[in-house]
Amino acid sequence: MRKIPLIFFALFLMAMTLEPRLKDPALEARVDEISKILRCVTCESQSIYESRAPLAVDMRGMVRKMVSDGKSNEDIIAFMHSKYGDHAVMTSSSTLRPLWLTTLALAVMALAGWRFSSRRAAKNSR
Amino acid sequence: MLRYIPILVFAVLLALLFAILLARHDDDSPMVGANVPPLALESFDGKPITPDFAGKTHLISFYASWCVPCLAEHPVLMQLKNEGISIIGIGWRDNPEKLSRWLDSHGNPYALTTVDPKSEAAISMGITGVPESFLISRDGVIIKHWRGPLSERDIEYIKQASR
Repeated sequence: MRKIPLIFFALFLMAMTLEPRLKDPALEARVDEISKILRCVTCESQSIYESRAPLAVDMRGMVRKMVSDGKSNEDIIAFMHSKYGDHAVMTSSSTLRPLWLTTLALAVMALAGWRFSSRRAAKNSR
Repeated sequence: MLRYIPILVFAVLLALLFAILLARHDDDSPMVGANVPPLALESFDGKPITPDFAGKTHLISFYASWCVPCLAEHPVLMQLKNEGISIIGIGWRDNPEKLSRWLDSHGNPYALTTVDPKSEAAISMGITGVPESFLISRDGVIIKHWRGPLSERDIEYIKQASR
């Protein structure tokens, strides 16, 4: 009995995240396929298929609308590219930017840590 | 004192790297130089509106009543309005009642107040959040894009471009 409010809350949360899907499973599969290629422009390393960010949800809605209007996958990707540039596409070179920056950050941290600990060890051995 | 220098250097480097990672670029929109696309908007009472940009320089301003940086930008927009700049306000991910209340309490700088309920205009213009602004020439070409709030130093540029 005590679980009933919890169940209602869970159902409410599910309803909040549900998106209207196309009736034709083949078209909906195309929406998923395109959504996996397009990047969530507010969350860097996720596609709009994975992201729950509001803009990503709206972009999926736009993809769904364009698919049901008869646009091809290429047309839809080109449309998003014309609005957001290379950054809109998961496979573009800009995907690598956060990766090399993160690697550089980790390398600097490791170098600083190593230098700090080696100095400390030298001091202690004196 | 000297023993804290490595930690200090490390902290500065870390801060620099985070700054690079989080850096946003002002003019990286591919929309600059393109014609402004037809924007399917709604008035506050739900009627469809497609603004006409011909014949006059306009500023398009994406904003929301829940957006704190929009509040910081607001005095700049009021100043631009007083300078005679025509600003089209597009409320993003917001509802007309809240936007009306917000404009009543802070002042309305917009020549046209609209909402974009399904983010169609937002995506058509390539925005990633609010506030974002676009300067549109009298022949309908996007001449500048700002991600983030406009500041006092943008006023002169907008005034010059509008002449």
